[in-house]
Parts: sequence; structure tokens; C-alpha cells
Amino acid sequence: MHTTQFQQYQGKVASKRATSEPTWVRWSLIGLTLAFLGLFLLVPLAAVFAEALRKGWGVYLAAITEADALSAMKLTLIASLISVPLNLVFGVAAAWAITKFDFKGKSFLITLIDLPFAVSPVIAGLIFVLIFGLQGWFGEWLIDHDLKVIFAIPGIVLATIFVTFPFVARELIPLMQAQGKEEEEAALVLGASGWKMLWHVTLPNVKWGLIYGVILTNARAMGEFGAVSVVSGHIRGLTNTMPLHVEILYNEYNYAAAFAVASLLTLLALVTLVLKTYVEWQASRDAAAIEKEVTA
Amino acid sequence: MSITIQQINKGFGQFSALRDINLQVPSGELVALLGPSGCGKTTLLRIIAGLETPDSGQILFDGVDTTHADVRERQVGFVFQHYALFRHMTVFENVAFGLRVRPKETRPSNAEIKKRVHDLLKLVQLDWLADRYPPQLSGGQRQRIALARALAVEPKVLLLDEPFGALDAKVRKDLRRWLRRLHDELHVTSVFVTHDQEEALEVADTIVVMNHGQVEQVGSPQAVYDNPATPFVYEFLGNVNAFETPQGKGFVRPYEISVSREADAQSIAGSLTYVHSVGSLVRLEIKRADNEQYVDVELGREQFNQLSFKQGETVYLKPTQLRVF
Repeated sequence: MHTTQFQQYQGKVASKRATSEPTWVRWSLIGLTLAFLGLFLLVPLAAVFAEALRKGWGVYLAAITEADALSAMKLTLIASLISVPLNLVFGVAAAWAITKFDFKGKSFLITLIDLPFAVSPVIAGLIFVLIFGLQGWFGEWLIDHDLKVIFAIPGIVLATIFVTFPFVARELIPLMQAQGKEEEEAALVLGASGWKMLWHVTLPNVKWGLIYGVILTNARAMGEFGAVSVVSGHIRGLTNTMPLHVEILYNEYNYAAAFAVASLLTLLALVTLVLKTYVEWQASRDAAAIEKEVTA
Repeated sequence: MSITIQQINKGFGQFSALRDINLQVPSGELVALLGPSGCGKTTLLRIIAGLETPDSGQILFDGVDTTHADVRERQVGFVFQHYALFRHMTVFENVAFGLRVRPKETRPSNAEIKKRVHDLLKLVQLDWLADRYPPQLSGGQRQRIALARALAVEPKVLLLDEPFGALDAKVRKDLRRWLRRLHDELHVTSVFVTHDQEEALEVADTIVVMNHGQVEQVGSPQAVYDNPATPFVYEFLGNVNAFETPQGKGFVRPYEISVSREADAQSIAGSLTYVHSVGSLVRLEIKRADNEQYVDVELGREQFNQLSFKQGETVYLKPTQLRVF
């Protein structure tokens, strides 16, 4: 008994050696990776917090509770609170249409959904200026009706919606494609209305993918710089979002304040990563639990 | 409820899936749509269910035109090939789904739903699995839950797409008999799709043999097996030897050939190349001397033992029955 276990163990070691590289290759590759990660990810991350706190907590707190900073945070929150739910609905609708139905122009629709990924954010912002700006297509009409889009909150929300449009749909389409439409058809035959089918069958099946998509959408909505920068007009306390506020502070050589606000965005990124990891872990745990029961 | 199918045509792009299908399914019967993959049988089933719309033609339920009726109004039960159970719902909730999604006025009370679901689970002999999730069930169990779910809405017609396709041989046989008994008990008009001739022959009251989007033959298992209407049906149902004869193509079943050591005027000489003797039948493979073609012959074990042919021996064949098309 002991002998066989020993033999098994030896066999494992031998086979492991047979399929791996020499020690020095392994360690130099690992070392290279760690050095790269440290230089490009950890050092900048640490730098943000170090710079933010260089002049002490007092300055840090002052920088993030100052009126313009607070209004920038508020605007960033408004932009993401509007764009995330809208893109959630658009994303689900688009993924649903693409994966559950056959129609002409389907591949065109998929391309269209990807457009915001393909186009530079600055161009995206410019598009809205050209449409809604003073010299734009609807410029005069908007002035006549006393509506402001560009250099105002609506423009910022529009630009944010545009750049974050693909996230939810892109996350759901492969998932829903893999799941097929048999369950929906089964619900239909059993007499379920479209809403009940969506609510009781489709959405629960894509729950984790949907949450994942929302997290990514939110991260991008709060962090977007390029497109928002073009339509915002940089009016302090009015049309500045957090990333824009950071830029302004930086350009004014107010480094401590710039990094203080930047540290909040960095924290958001870290929270996003933690949530993302948690969602991935939950999703794989669900799958694994089921898998385990099946093989048991 | 009877189903009448009149001049149904259906194409997908360039491909014509169904051509001029006419069919009558009498009330309470169990009908098999049998054919090779791609013959249009599943499309026809989905058209009956309302999951596909025909390009032309009509579907009548009890004489009432339902061609354009919504899937939800047809009161059909559909069992999908891969069961399509709702993966995030328990077995109980899966079966209860059809009752729960009803509008308030017609929805049974919770207590009624509970009773109905448990009755159905008892019917499919899986009451003890009520709290499990579909991925935790075996293929055969999923199949029966899918059936219970379809029956929960008291369908007028039960449609099953390759009901045993994804199961292993043993479970398949058991379930097939069980389905037959269940049908005899419930007497709901049922149509099932299969590519397995043995399955169709064993379970169905009537077999509809399909090929290339058309109906080749309709009849009882006995009738289609003994009197195939077309060469396709002959070749598709059971083993058969095909010959070229001066009058056309000839078909002989392996058990419709007599083998002997003595030649006579009509017999054909051949050499016995292989003897396969597992089970009650002994299968002989004989190479014809005249055209080198192989002929399959089946003999009863007893008969074979009496004759005791040896591999390599020259034997003489004579068809006892021959169909020429």
C-alpha cells in the first residue's frame, strides 16, 4: 500500500519535471512578469495615494470636500446614475434581439453596437457638438426653445451614454448565444407573456453577466474623460466631472488636490475590481456547485 | 384533439424544408414522424406547435384553422430535444411554471398548484426530486420532468422532439415503454419526432416516414415495415439488400433469403465470407460469385446449427420474397 503511494508520488514528480522548463527559465520569466506589473501597475497606484497624502490628511480632506470637487462628484454620479440604467435597458434589449431572433441587418446592428468602442472618445464628443452645438444641426432650434445640451449636463450624459453603450450588450450576447433560445420557447409554449419570459427565464439565466456588464459600464461612466471633455466646456462647479476636475487642478499646479481627487477615482477602480472578482467567483461557484452535484 | 395538416410548405432561404405536406393525426393517437436528419420532421413539429410559421398551407386543430394562432393559445405541450428545463428553477418550479404564468383570473391557487405539481411528479415517478435543480438530474430524469412540465398545462396535443435522442441505450428502452404506457393512460394526441426506426416501430400507432421535406409513407408500424411504399422507406426501415434487376431496383430483407448447399435453376452462387453469431439470429455475409456484391442473410440460430455452414464455403441463395420498384 505504502509502496504504491510512494510510486504514485514519484510518478507525479517525474511527470511534472517532464513538462516544465528548467528552473532558471521559470524564475526569470516570473521575475520579469513581476517587475513589469510592479513598474506599470503597482508603482503608479502607490504614487497616486502617496502624492495625494503628501501634504497630510488635512489638505487631502480639504481638497475632496471643497465645493467644486463636490459638485464634480455630484455631476459624475448624475451622469452614471442616468447612463447606467439606460444602457442596462438598451444592452438587454439589444442582446435579446440579436440572440433570440433572426432578422435582416443583424450583423449591421452588432457592428453598430461596437461603434463606440471603435471610435475615439474625442470624436464621440465632437459628434454631439456637431449635432447639438451652437453651429450644429439642431443648434438654432435648441436656442429657440431655450434648451442647452452642449456645455451643460445633458451633453455630458449623452456623451457618457454613447461611450458606455457596448458594455452590457457585449457581455450578454456571447452568454445568451451559448444558452440558445430553447428555454424561451419552452416558456412561450407554456403560455408565458413576453414580460414573464424575460423576467422569469431570460434574466435569471444571465444574472451574473448582467451584473458584470453593469459594473464595467459604471466604471467607464465615472472615469470617462475624452468624450465628456469635448462637450463639457469645463465650467467649474457646473459642468466638470471628476476626471475633468483632476485635469484642471493638475494644470493649475495644484498637485496635492489633483491627486486627492484622483485617489477617489482610483479607489473606485479598486472597488470595481473587487466587485468584478466577487461576481466572477460567484458565477463560477454556482457553476461548480451544480457540476459537483452532477458528478456526485 | 385531431390535427389536420394541409399543403404545408416551408423554406429557409434557398432551402426547402417542407414540400406540400398533407397529414391527418386522429384524436388520441401516438404518431411518429420518422426520417433521417434534415428531412424536415422537426420543422413540421415546430409548425404544429406554432414555433415556426409555414410559408403556405394550413394547420387545423379539431377542424379549426389554427395556422396563425399564437403559440400560447394553442394549448400544446412541447418536449424539447434537450429538454430546455429552466436551469435556475427547482424541479417543482419548472413544472409549476405553466400554471404560475397564467393571468390572475385563470391562475389556480397556490394550494392547487402544489397539488397539481405533486400529482404530475408522481405520475412521472419523480416526486422525490421536487427540490432539485435540473443540472443535478440524470438525462432520463430530466426527460420525465420535461414531460411533466408539458403536461401541467393540460395540453390538447403533446409534441415531443427526439424525446429519447440524448439518452443511453438502456434508459432509452425503458423510457420508450414508459411513454407508451403513459400515452395509453392519458390518451392525449401525441406526435413525436425520431430518426430511430426501432423507436418508431415500437412506440407509435402510426408512422409517418419523411425524406427531403416530403412524406414518403403513412401507416401502422406493421404496414410500413412489411409493405414499404418507396425504395427510401425500404432502405430506411430495417436492413435490406438492394439488387439491380432487369425490371428495376429489387429489395430483399436479410431474413427473406434461403441459403442451401444445393444449386437450383433460380439460385445465385456465392461464398460465405463472414458469420456473425451473437444473439438469437445468425448473420451471414455472402459475396456473390456473379457480381462480387455482398448480401446480408439472417438465419435463426437453430436453422444455422442444423446447416452448420463454414466460412469460405460456397452456398446458393434464393430470395423467398422480392420487391421491385
